[in-house]
Amino acid sequence: MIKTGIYGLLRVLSWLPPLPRTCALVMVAFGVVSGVLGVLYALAQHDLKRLLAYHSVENIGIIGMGIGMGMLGGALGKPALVALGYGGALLHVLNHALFKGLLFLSAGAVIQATGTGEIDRLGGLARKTPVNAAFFLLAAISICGLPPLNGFVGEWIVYGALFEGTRSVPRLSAGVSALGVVSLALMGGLALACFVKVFGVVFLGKERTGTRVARATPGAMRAGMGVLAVLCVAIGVLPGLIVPLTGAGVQVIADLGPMEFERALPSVLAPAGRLSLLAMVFFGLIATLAVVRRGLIQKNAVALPSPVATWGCGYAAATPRMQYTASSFAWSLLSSFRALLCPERRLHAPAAVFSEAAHLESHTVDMAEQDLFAPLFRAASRVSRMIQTLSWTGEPAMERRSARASERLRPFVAVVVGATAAVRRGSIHVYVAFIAFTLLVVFAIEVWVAPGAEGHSAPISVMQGAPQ
Amino acid sequence: MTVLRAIGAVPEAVAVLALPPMLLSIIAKTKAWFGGRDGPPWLQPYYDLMKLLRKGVVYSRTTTWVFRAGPIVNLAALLCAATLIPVFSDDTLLGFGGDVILIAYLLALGRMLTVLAAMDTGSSFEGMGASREVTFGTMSEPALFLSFVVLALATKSLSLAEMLGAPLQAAWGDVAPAMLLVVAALLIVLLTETCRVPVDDPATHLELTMIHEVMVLDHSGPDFAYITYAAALKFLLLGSILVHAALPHASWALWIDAPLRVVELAVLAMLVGVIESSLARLRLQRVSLLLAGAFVLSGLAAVLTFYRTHA
Repeated sequence: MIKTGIYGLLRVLSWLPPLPRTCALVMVAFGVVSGVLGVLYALAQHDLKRLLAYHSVENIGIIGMGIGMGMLGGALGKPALVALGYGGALLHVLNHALFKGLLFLSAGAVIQATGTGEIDRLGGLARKTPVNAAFFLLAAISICGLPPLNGFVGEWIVYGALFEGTRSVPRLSAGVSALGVVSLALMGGLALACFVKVFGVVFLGKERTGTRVARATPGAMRAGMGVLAVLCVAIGVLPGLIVPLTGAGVQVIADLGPMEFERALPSVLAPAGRLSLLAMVFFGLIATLAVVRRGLIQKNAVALPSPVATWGCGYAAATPRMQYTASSFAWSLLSSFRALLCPERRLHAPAAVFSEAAHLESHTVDMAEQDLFAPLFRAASRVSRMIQTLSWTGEPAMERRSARASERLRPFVAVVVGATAAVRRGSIHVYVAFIAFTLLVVFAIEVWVAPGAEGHSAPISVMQGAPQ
Repeated sequence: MTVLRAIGAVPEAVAVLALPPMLLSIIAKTKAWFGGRDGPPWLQPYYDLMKLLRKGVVYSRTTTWVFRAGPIVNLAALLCAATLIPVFSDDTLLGFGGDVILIAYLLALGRMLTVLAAMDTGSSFEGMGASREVTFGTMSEPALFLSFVVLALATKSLSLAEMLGAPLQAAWGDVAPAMLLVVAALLIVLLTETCRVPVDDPATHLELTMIHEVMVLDHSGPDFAYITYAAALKFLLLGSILVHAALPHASWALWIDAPLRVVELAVLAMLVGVIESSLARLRLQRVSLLLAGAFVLSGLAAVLTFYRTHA
């Protein structure tokens, strides 16, 4: 359903003449912001479905980056960039529908089996619902953009567009493309962390308490997921069949010749069929290694008196509650990005020898929700009430802001305060970072004002052409 | 790619597969020399692997098929990456345009399955190691990709074999400072990805402070042999990228090139040994600063290269 926006965007783009470069760069920037923040917020979630929903924000970001590169190519007349940008975006739309659909179905099966979607209360489901676990893992590998599944093919083409952007367009746009490459890499790493967290906590390890005893996934649910899973694998292993189809879509959006997409792919990357070869090699290696391992294990079988427990580093009475939780798993990454996310953490640590119960609570407020949409909707409701009551104040009295919003530092304020504190503390790393940042700013200014740079190329040529 | 080259690829592949444990041995010997010891025999890593392959396997009752799949997929992903990375010669077996992205993502796939296998044991120690591994992996990825951007800009290619081949030699003449910065960034990425000091200490004996070692605590027998070998192979592959980026030369005959590359890799292993002997490992919170440093270095390299290529 969220892809309707993408569809509308692409339709409108197909009607418009090529937009100026700035629009394209803004689009890429939107993609970057949406992607990085989406996956960071996903990492901070405690609920399975909310987490998946935030990943849609991330994937729309990836699609947005692809569309932005396509627009950039249109603005600068680079057909390869147009083909790869729009092509990657369209393919990712399809892929996202497949693997995200599979993930939501699988999450639904988890909730149906256990009665909760709270990640930290689940555990060990791979033992109870092995088929569902396999589907979830497959979709997770795919959404992280890892080979040899369909997610990789889409991201590979978007990467191709971004890399092509770094070298074939003028400086500023090339810099934005490089930023896109870096953000896509960061998103890939964060998505991996996020899905390791979800799959590791929900499906692996020991069963945590507080959930219903899980039942096996019904056959009809498995069948539905199976279709999506087969499609995910098929596109990943045989991209040569699907990728050319996106060429037709690109042709509709941009005025490109019918063969432009087929030409652009090998000129920048390689024919998509090369990925199939590598996928075959990969599966062949897995099969060989598995057979060798099986042979070795059967030859040297160990007879154990009873099933053994996990090595607890000398501690023999480990309980399921002692497992690493999803919140702890994500915390080291979240705290690295605390300047951006402002995660809240309330810790009531045990202090005395005979201490009372300890308590830890963590929560991450969504910046877009809290600082953009909430004020927007409050303003909208105020305006509507002003119209209703025909008064400037919008009586009866407006609802108060929630207490939490005022406690929390706004993200921008937080960054400024944090930066000032860091400078005061005199940390050498921060100084180095500031020097690097200053150099980048100087570089950006230099790019902007230098003669021959993209921003000023047109007026200069006019001046040269003018009679003296 | 002629028939002759295809035949030549067989001994080359054998050499690539045989070399990784030797590099670990060189690191161990260097550290032993710094400590005033003799150190283990040169072939000790090979003996260890043979011993592990002959052992039986013990699985915890908590684990599932994910635990068994982890070492296999990890090693398969790295072997697959090995067909795309130039090690001795300047070309690769299956390389193609855009293979740098595939290589980085194959490494990530191996990491994902290793980490999941650790989570599968239900041990809080292994969960802790898993959390650290994905944290540092996530942070090293932007630096790696930004280095790739610089190499791609300097050589106008997206195929790793070309990005590290003759065009790079010209780039060294053109923007040497940028290339130096990229090499520094790649060294930090190498130390992080292969779990070496100052990020992780492979010799530590305290589970709480480990990263890689604690994740594989529960593996045994052939599974553990796969993991140990995969770790060595990862060092060889990332080391080859680093060595090729630092010292590119035009394609010489293979019989000159291959021994030269072996020597360069040995020197790199010695360098890592020196780093391990002379540096303490960083506090865990500080590692992210080191990786941010690698990112800044490659970012500056990108700025310098942009100046040259987009003049």
